[in-house]
Amino acid sequence: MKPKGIVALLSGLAILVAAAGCATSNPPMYYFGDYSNSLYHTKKNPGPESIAEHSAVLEKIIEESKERNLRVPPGVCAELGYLYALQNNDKKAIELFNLEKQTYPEASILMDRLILRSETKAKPDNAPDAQIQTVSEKPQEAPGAEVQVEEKAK
Amino acid sequence: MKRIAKGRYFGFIFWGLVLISFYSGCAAPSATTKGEKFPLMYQETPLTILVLPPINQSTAADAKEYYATTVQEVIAYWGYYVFPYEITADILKMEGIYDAELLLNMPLAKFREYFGADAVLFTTIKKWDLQYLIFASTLTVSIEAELKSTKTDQTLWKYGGTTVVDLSGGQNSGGGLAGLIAKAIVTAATTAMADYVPYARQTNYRALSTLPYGAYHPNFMTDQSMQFHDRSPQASGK
Repeated sequence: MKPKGIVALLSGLAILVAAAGCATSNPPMYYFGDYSNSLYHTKKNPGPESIAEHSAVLEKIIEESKERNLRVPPGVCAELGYLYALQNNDKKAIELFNLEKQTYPEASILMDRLILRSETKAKPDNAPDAQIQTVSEKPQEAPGAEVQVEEKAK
Repeated sequence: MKRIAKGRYFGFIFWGLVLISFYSGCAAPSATTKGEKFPLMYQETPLTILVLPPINQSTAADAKEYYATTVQEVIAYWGYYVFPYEITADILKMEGIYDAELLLNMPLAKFREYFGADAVLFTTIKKWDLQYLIFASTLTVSIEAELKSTKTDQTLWKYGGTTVVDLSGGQNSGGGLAGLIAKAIVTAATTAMADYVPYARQTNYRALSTLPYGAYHPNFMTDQSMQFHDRSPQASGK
């Protein structure tokens, strides 16, 4: 047998095994799109651009999942919500945390913490969970970002 | 006189190495099954997994990021709910937990309480070795992973995987000096710009390949008899 043939066969097998992750031929459980790549790029080239790109990838995963009638993969809604929260769009963040809770009720404990944190951000004087405030390394978050322009009516 | 293209020769050697690395390991790998080796997994059936920041024992500073950005996807496909790594890593950082090594012998109940995690995944990146030779580069990635219960602190699952990837210019680069030069250029280019994300993902797949399926997977609780060669560094199941 030619080495080239073996190489082709092995590559094919390796790809199949890596892609399937198991021996059976079940339909894919999730659509992840470009998730790993774009997440890696936010680490390799940190900055608003790579983060905006990654947000777009996360939005796409949510859309595509809907279209293909698949559950959104674990953590994707939450991660997008977290990015919104870092940009102080807490309304959208809470929406997404709730969506994650809906899809995966086992995530409720963590989602409730994140929701509470986002809700608390709008009222800087009333912060029972203040010790969970994020000091993120992401460049666009300024230290004083918690102060909201709009006040929520009590 | 017949000239064998150097490309093919190297290709054959490196695929040979891949085969060898796949089958080698500890002295005499014995066949075992998921059910035999990891009975606690089937007793406890954890659903939610918290992935801790990896312990990087390799010489590559990037290795941690490559691992961290590919593991969530792989565990999700195995049928578990995995907490969003970016969020939990940030929270842990704020609590001063930069290094999972500190947690190895600590009680894990607080992760259950704070996150709702049934189990915590410890990972050690043993190797992330890029060897660059003019005509052939290889990337060797070696990962060990351990899943511990937050209820009992016991190890539910433990395994490891090594992937050797040939990054050289490919097997089809013709013969003669021109072919060698072309191959050297391609090797340099692919090594410099290589996108290692797929290789990291592949290594995670291999390391996780013996993990019993989680509740979201169609084969949940039916994979106890799946066989594998036990190449893990230490016996687990404690």
